[in-house]
Amino acid sequence: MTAPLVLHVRLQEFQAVVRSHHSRVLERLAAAYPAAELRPADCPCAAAPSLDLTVGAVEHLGDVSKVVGHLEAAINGAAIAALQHRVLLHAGVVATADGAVVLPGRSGLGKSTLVAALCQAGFAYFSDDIAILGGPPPRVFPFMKAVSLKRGGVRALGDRGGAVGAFEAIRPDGSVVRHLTPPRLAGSNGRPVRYVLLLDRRPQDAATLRPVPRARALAELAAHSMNLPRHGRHGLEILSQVVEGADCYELTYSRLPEAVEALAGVTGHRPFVGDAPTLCEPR
Amino acid sequence: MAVSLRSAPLDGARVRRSDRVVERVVDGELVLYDTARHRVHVMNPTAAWIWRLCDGGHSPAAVVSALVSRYSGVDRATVEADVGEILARFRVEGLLDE
Repeated sequence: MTAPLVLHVRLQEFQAVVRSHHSRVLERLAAAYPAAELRPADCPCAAAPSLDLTVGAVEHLGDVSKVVGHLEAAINGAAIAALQHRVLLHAGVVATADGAVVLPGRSGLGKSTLVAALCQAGFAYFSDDIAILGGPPPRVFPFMKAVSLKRGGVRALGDRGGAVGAFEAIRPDGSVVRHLTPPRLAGSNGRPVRYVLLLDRRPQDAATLRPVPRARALAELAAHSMNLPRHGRHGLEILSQVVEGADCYELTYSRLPEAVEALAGVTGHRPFVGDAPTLCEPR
Repeated sequence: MAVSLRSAPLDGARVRRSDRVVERVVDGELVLYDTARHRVHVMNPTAAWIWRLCDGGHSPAAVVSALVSRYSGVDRATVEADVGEILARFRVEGLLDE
């Protein structure tokens, strides 16, 4: 036990604080949020948090992995609930100087692993799992949690995964993840979507990138939205504007280096210059 | 998922698009989004044309006649079969008001 600390986590408008005497828990949890800030408990926050958690009842933190996994799930779930006024997609997002690359896809498709590989190759990181869309004009905003990699993803990254944390968090569903903070973070500002990339991972297939009709890309974005029924016509309008301003491709691949090379080729791979991560400002 | 469809009867009442469906044209292709079922449909040109006629002012038979007039030389029986199947699909997918 140590002096009480507070971890401040900000995901766009959503803000969470987690209070605890267990610095080990908060330090592990902080690794899941690149823009998180660990402060003394008496350090004020500029705005009332959307979520205020206290980890105080845990006397025997024998399994810090589960505690951190549950806290992370609670924070992410609350953030998603708080961001329902935006159109949310299941999608990885990275960026180049030209704009963002959105990779929609269901869980387990390999988005996080590919996003991690792209970021290790110089793309800026927005999110490995959730795309936040707003507009007009249509823009995608970062959901700044660390890349969460399952063991297969860490293995697939190989040498590229050198920065993956050793700590393993166990989520409520039992899945085990390790966190990676990519070297280049997008900050908090939105970016126009320049590419929509539909993923088709097939064993043994060489990486190929082929254009797809924007109508199909729109259908994929809509199918992977988390709250489109809530937004109805306006939501479809935003998604339509996204694809109308983007080049849309399907990436078939089996090996990460080839996928990264293909995407770097089509985007020109010009380094992103982003704003610094925005943290909770003290009063 | 494959859905077995029985062609819709062509002597039925006028067909009308559901208010729950929002639509958007992207690069000339019509995309429908069913807000109730959270399903997206990309229409081929024929289906899109038929969809436009589901305005509450056309019966299925009138849709057939409109298509036959638009595409000279097409066989009416073929058009009837296509329209029947597409309208049945629209109904199965919940895109039309009943």
